[in-house]
Amino acid sequence: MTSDHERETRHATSFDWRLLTRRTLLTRAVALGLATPVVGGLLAACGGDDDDDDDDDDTDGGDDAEPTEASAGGDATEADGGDDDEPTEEPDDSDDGDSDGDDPNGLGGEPQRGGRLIVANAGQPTSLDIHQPAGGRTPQLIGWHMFETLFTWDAEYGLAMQLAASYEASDDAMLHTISIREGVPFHNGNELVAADVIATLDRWAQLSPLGELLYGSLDSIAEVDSHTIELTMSSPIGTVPQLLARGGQGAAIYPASVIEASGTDFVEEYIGTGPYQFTEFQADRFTLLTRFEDYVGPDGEPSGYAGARNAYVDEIEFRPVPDEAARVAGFQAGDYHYLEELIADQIEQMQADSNLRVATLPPRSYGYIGLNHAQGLMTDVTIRKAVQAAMNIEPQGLASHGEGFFQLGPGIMLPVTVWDSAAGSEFYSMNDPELAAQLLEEAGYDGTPVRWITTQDDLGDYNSAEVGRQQLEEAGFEVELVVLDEATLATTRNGQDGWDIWNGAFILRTDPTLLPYLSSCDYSGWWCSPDKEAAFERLLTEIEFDARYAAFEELQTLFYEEVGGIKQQDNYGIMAIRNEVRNFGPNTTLFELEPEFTNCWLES
Amino acid sequence: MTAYILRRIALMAPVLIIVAVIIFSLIHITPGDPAAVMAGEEATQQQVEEMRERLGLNEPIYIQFIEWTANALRLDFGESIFLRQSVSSAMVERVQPTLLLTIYSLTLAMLIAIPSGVIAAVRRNSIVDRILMVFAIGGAAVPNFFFGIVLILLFAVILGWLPAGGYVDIDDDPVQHFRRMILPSVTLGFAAAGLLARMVRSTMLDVLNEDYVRTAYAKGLRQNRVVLLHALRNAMIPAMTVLGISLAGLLGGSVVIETVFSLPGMGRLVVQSIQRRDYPVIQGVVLVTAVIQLVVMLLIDVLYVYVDPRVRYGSD
Repeated sequence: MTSDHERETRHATSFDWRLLTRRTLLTRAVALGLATPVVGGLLAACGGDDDDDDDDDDTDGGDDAEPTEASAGGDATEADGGDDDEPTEEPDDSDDGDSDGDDPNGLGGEPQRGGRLIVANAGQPTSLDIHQPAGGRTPQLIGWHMFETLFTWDAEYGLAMQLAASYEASDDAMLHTISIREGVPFHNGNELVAADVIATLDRWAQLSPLGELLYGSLDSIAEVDSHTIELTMSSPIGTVPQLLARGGQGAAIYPASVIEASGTDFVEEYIGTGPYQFTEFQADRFTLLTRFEDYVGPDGEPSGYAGARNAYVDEIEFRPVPDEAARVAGFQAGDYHYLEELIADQIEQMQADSNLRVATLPPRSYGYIGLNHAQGLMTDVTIRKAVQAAMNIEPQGLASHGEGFFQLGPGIMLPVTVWDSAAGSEFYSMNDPELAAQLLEEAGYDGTPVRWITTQDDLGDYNSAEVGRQQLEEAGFEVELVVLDEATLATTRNGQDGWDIWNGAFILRTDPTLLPYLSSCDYSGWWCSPDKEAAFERLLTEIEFDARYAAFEELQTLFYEEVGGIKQQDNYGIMAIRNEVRNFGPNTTLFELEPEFTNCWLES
Repeated sequence: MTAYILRRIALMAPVLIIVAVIIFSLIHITPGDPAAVMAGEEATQQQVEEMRERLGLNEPIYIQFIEWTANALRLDFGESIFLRQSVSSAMVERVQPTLLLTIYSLTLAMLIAIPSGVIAAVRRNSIVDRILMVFAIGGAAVPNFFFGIVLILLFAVILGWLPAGGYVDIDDDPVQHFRRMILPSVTLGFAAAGLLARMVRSTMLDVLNEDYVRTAYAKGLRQNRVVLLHALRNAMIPAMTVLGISLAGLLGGSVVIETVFSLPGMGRLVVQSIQRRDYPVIQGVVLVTAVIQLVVMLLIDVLYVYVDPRVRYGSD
């Protein structure tokens, strides 16, 4: 769907922060005394310590927090303490880098309660039921103000506890015990208990690929007491907290009663434990959330999605404004405080407006070319390799996002995550039409046209496809660009007939198990091989971060060697918010995943 | 006359049946699947399949058609796949913005077009005529979305006098309602006024050359009386057709304007439903739009009789 296509990431850059590559981040981290091994450290750096702080205040205390680190991030064990404050120092750096001298985070000042924050959404979600595969970012943007998960991410993408109070895994990763915070009310007034969590997870497993992954290794789930659950696995799995953490189709905890009423259909009532509760919905007009006065959240300094979630704003109204020009005009006119999805053309005039804060941020999605391994030309690996050899990513990025709005990189996990890897980079953006021609000859290519399906509903994707087509033709391919409308494209891509290539984008994932083309042989493209499945199995079941990272690197290498698909450019994210919204920016929320309007306030 | 009206109403039935069959076939022949749209780009094939199952899209087409027709006859257009509410209620919710926008813009169009057309005709080839007709042609020629965006930029973004879009129910807050409806009404009103003014001018010119106008002048009537009472009434007959077509078109929802101004009306509903392949909504809206067209056309034909006594239908 459109929002997945990440139109919003075709944007301009205005200050140095946005260009913060992983390398510069690491350099800064080292400079600030962040311990190596950095890959693991980065993920967990903040999380662990924040967790300690948070959970010490809760019933189970710090002891329980320790195991979380141990397995929540396997990675976390490698983290060391003392860097909680590191991310909050980042904004200062970034501010310095801002050519206008503006503060993109709108920091400073005293929090003020009150007001209605209005957000212009790019579309209207069919439902705010997080578990459902109802695509796009919009349901996430709205829904996560109402719902919470057992685990979440801090500013450094380290795991932190949200509804969980403690987490413990046995050494063999076969038994996982999670206790939940006591005294947490749902919006309907009932207290969150273990039965709600179990009912949620049982349903979630039927709807979400993450749940399927977890339940694929699950032997049983049991209620130990009213606030503790135990997961007994049939095969070891080291990523239980990651799978249960906030993300697309994540395990948002609903009351058992809501789940009983809906089964796997869309829920009829939106009841969560979050700082905002559902108030009113009018189709094509608005969704209104209001502060949940009885909210009981985790304590601690806000960091990413972790720590305290203060609801300073009384109400948040989300209005669907599908037309981009209307969205931008309304934003500039002051009708909306924040808008989803911007294109580069709009940035310049916005930057000139002192009422707005506009910033370009590190990549939050990347372009991807899917190849049909199931039927047609692309079943032949040599032909796929020829496609790979013909690709020159930079012109594709320029065509789709424009200069300064993307960066190149072979990693199939974005650089802000700890999973960034250069494995297989020799096959990235090869720009070698001669080699491609040679491979085509080797494959005995007979000039059958490659059917590249695309849509003009997303001009960025279309432009990228047009450039890709020229590159393939240069290498000797015959290419038929099949232009469809978005709905037809979606259907065609999900079937094995009638196409060889499509292109689109993947939004940021915090863990590689969440990439559908890695986790499933059933995802469009149907890339499947015994080596891939074996490496994925290890990625899923290994406990230590190093072992998981090795498995991931093997997967990324296989992605390039078997040409699972083609990784394109990393697309920068963009933020545009009105100045009166304070304490909201790249350093106050995990913008790359989805911004959140907790902890920000409206300055009167 | 009554027999004529009854006959016209009876004739609507086959038209509507044809419309229903065509729209049902067209949208089901068109590739694209609401389940795939809803599940999103990153969904696996299995998830899409499960979504299809949950949405009840796996029934054979002919069964879906029979069910839909049987229900439509009872004015039940089914459930929207995407909105998860009944199509009727989805339409009812969107009638107000569309209906009021139509009323405002057509009223505005008439207020501008009729005097302009009359003045231009009476003072034909004068500078006033030229200026008015430049505006009229401009109004008809400038694309709606462009004019709308220019108005938004000027009055909302630069001057900040009016909101850029959105809708407030008239009974919730009339002031905010009108503030939000001014720009879209002006945008649509000007476009409609352009065509209407040209029409009024040319028919007025024809009428002003008629013998009875010369007679009216000859018997010493003042120009105002001749123009307004004798000429205009006759000149309005073709103009009424234009107005009727505009009215019927606008009642179906102004797709572009509702999108540009973020008005939750019928036009936006149908476009979004097409994008989402929300079959029941598309079918329902198209059918209702067809009914509106037919009824408006019938009303116009009936009105002719009252405006122009020379018009007679049927044998009675």
